[in-house]
Formats: sequence, structure tokens, C-alpha cells
Amino acid sequence: MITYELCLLLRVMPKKELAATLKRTATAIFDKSGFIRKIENLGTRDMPYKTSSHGVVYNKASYFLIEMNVPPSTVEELKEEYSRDVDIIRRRVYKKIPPSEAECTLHEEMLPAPYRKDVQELIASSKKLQKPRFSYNSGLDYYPFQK
Amino acid sequence: MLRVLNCLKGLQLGAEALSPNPTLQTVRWRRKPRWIPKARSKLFKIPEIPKIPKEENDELARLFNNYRTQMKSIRRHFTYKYCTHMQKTENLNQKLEEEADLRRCIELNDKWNVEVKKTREARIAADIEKEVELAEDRVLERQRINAEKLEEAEKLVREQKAVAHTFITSENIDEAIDKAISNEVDYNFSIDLEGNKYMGRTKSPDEEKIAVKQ
Repeated sequence: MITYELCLLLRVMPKKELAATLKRTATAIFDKSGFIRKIENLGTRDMPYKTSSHGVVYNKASYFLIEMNVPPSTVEELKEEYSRDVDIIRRRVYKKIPPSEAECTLHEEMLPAPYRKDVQELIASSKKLQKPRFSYNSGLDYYPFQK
Repeated sequence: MLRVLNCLKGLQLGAEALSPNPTLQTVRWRRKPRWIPKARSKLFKIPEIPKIPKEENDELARLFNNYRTQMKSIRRHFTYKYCTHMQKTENLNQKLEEEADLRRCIELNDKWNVEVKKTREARIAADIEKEVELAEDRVLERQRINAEKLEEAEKLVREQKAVAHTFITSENIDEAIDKAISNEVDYNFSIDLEGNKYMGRTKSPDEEKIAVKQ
């Protein structure tokens, strides 16, 4: 069972028409024996660039996000259906990725360099590569090697 | 060896210079390689076929036939003589000794075979035991993995069943759409130097400060 995220850019419309368009969109999902987990309204905003769709140029759009479950084989059909809808400017379907669980390590990263663990490891590994050197306190009063 | 000798010949040295062996003889072996064409001066030369008179040819054939027959008979004679000589010199004692030696060899071989068989069987048994153990381990591991997978799948189903009542279907779609249109969601936020998070795209923590737009 794959959860998809459907991102919709809708034409700026009055509330009633918007509801009708969303209903149409949702019905298409239900017809494909899918269901919706979540509908989110991300607001009506200027688009990053002007966009033409169905022969009209748009500068503003209503952003909607629909989380849905549909059979994977019907995703292409859905996209094709939405592409024919004149109220939908842009549509995109993504696979929903569960949020990764990252631990905050900022306090470790903010430490001075010699206290950081990765720096310490680096120093240790570089020490391993160093050649053995002659130590001057070994009792010999001269340097035994060629200088 | 021949090539070396040819090189020496080129240096006007004989084989004698290389080795004092009197049986060594230089072989004249020089021929044009197959891919080199006929010399231009010899291009239109037709070698003459030697004409041998019929009487002479017959005589030569007769002589050579005689020679061949005689050589064959001599060779057969020597072979026969050699065989009979070998059979005569074989004495009884030697034969017995050889047989005894063979028997001893066979006995020793059998003994070794028995020893090797013992070690081989032990080794094969150990190998089989090890393999059986490995296979059992593999089976157990596979069973564990399968159980884990099943458990994971069941966990997923349980989780989904628990949240199933929140799913939007054709019955409650109108309410959900109305709710979504009236509640705008904004995931943008800004943070200040203390790490405080201010949710919203244009919201500022207070009027003096201006929130950093993400």
C-alpha cells in the first residue's frame, strides 16, 4: 500500500467553485477504488513564475495537497484525468516518504575542533601513518643517522 | 640449435668452434619463407625435366626393389634374433623375485588404501555434519526473518486499522473539503538565534523584529 501525495495548483476561484473542483478531484480517486488520508489547503499565492495552462496564463494559484492511497496502476490514469480538468493548472504525484528520524548533534558540532569526535579520529588515523622517529633522550650523545 | 648453428655459419665459424663433439654436424637449412615470391631473374625460367631413358629407369627400379627387400629381411632377422635372445636370458629366480616384489607392492598399496579410506570417511562425515548444521542454521535464520516480516506486516495492518476511521471517503468528503478550505496550513517557519521557532510565512515574533523568510 503506497501512500501518494497529490500536489494541485488550482485556478483562483470563489469558495463554492473551489469546493466543486476538489470534490471532482476526490471523486476521481474514489472511482479508482482509492481513499484520501488528508486534504490540506496551502493557501492562495503568487506562483514563482507565470504559468500557462489550457490556453490561459496564470500568475496566482491555490495550492492544495491531497494524501491518498490508490492502486499504483491507476496513477497514470488519474494524472491524465486531471490534465483534462481546466480548473487544475498543475498537478504532480509523489510517493510519500516517511520522515527520517535524525538526532540533533548540533551541540557536538559546535565544539572547538580538537574536542570533536570526528577530528580526534582523523588525528589518530594520521598518527598511525607517521614513520617512527629517533628520540633524542635515548642515551646516545650523537645522531646515529645521516642528516 | 639449428638456428644457432646457422648464425655461426654466418660468422664463418664452424660447429667445431662451439663444441668439440665430433658427432655434431652442421645442417644446411636455409629456405625462402613461403610468402616471398619467386625471384625476378627466375620468373620466366622453366626448369628442365631430366630425361631418363626407359631401360635405365627400369634398372634403377629393379635395383631399388632388391635393396628394399633385402633391407626388410635383414631388419626382420635382427628383430627375431633380439626377441629370442631376450626370452632365453630370462631366468626363473628373477621372475620369482619380481612376482614377490609385485605382491609386496600390492599389499603395501592395500594397507595405504585402508588408511586413506579411514581418514577420508572421517573427513566426509565431518563435512556432512558441518553442512547439516549450516543448513539447519540457515533454516532457522530464514524462519526468523519470515516471522519478523510477518510481524512487521501485521504491525502495519494494525496501525492502519487504528487510523482507518480518520480516512476520507465519499461519505465525509464534503465536510473535509469545507474544513480544508477554511483552515489554511503553512509549514514555513523562521528561527531566531536562541532557536525559537516562529511558524508562519509572514509572522514576526514581535513588531520590532522581522522574521527571516525561509
